[in-house]
Amino acid sequence: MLALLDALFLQPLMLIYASVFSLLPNSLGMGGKLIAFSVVLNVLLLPVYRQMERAFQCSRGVKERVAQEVARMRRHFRGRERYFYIRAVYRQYRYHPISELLRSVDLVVQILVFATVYRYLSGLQTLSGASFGPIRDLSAPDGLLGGINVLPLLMTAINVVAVMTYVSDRGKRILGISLAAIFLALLYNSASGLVLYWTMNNLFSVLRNVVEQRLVPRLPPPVLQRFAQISAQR
Amino acid sequence: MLLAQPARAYIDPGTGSALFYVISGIVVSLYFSIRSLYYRVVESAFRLRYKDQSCGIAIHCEDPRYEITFLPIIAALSRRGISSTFFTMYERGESFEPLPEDVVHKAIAPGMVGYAYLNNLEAVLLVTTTPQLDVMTFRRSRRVRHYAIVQHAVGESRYVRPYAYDYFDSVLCCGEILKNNIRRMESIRGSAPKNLYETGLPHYEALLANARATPLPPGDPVVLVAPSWGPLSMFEAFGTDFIAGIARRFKVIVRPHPQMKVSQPDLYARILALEGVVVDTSRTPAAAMSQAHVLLSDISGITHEFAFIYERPVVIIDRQQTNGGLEGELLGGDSELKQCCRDFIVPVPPSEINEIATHLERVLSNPSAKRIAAVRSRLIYNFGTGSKVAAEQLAGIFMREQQSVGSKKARGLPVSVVGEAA
Repeated sequence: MLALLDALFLQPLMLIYASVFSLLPNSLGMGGKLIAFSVVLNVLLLPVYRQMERAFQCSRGVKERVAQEVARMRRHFRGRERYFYIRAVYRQYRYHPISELLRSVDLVVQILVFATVYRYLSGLQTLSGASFGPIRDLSAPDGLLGGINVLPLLMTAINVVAVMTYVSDRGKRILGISLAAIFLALLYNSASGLVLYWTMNNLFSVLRNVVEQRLVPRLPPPVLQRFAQISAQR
Repeated sequence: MLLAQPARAYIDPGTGSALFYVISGIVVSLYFSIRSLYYRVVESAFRLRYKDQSCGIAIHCEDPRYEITFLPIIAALSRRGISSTFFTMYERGESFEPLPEDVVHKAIAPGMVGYAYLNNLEAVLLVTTTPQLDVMTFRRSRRVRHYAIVQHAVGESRYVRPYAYDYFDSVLCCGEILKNNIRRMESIRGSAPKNLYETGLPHYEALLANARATPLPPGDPVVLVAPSWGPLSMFEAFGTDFIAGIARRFKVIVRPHPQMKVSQPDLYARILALEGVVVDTSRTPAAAMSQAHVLLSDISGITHEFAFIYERPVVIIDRQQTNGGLEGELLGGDSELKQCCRDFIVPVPPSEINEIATHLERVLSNPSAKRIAAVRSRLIYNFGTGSKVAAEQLAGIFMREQQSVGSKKARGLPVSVVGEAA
């Protein structure tokens, strides 16, 4: 069964990653190829994520109203009564907690991409012995600062800055920083090539947010309108 | 693409919140599934037992005090040649008023067991006074075509618990305020409009007949003190000492709420021991109301009956009611009913409890019968004929539903007995 799933879903992705990676010019060096690989993958996936983001935004309004009403019921009622009122709220908005899972296809895609890229890069023999700037071996932890791995710290710093800049809700900030800490623990001793790829991914995400939130709103109205039309057509 | 919202792409902190939603979604779904399964199992246990119930018009009465609402409707339906089945969640002893001969009576168990029975009923039309259909009480049976609720008190859909009327097909409204507020709730919740009938209050007829049969006896003014029970009761808030101040100037009848005997036995005993007043504990408040010139109460439903039936003034201790969780929280603002009636259901702030006798005196010196009648005609539909109107409206619903079934059968279409408006 697992072999079938592997053949159906994972192997095709591995093939795509291998094709993309082999198309990148060797003149970039292994480190440069990893950075380019990250950029290419992200650009290819942008329309997919954009579509998912749009679907998420559509459902967000309903989710917020449901959350508001559920909070009201929790405030005033207890036990059996509370259960039945919350069920009535879900019914009113045609919502079910399970729908969170169904709406989270994007998350599944992200996890799939993360897991498969991780697997692809972990098995990439060409990383062994390849250097990139001060990093001697991309298949080993960087150990740049007297044995301390700098790249995972850099990756975490980017994540924390992104959270502090773009997330205003205190609860979500704590959640974001916790997640950054988990990733630090998970990837700290990983191959520096893998961490480099992941750091670039996060940097790409931050840059995209900067463009969308800071630069685009400053564009002249006719340009904005044109972008909106293009966006709608897509 | 450049106008996209902040990206959630990649497994970064932004994705963390999505991950959190997914995990909480799984947990909440599991919780709801398990709890729902529990209620379904309980419900299924009763389903097999009650699978053979079938009738045309089913009338559900949860408590003997609502018989005053249903009996005149049942009688009016019988006069029109429409038989009904009267389901009561209590036994009807010999002391109860006999039902018309064509009416079938079935006593069902109170509480969850009785609700499970109703969940599986087969009928064309089910009429009840119990709100929260399909939410807290009984569920819509797939074999009942239409559900209607009749009012048993003046109401405005404000101090009722959530989703009181949402899943009924028809509401037989007592007055304009209720009708407007139900429409507002539909608009707030974006739900489909229900059939709202201009009906009135069927139980007012019996009360009115009783009031006319027992006119006010001559003599000194009598104050009836009849508050509610529980934490909002004026006895709970102010004790019983203020009664002595009233008794110095008026004859006083004190009627403790029957529930107080169960829920606040110490307080109930103190009221029974009051000196210089008459304590009324009879089954209905009718006798006490007929003797009183003015009523002193708090939030009790008796206030509107006293004002509208006996056309006499009421003084209420105006303790601010909270709308917490009730439908009024969504409607916002203050009670429309209170505003309309404040001329003869006079609110007095709790801080003036020690001057309550003076307030009663002032209210008594300002005759209000004509003003009450004028406001009543605006607030209550079909005053004095509510049961006939209700029976006519219910007969109409019943006929239409029957015709709909007949027409579908004639065309060979499958007959869904699930109510269509819900």
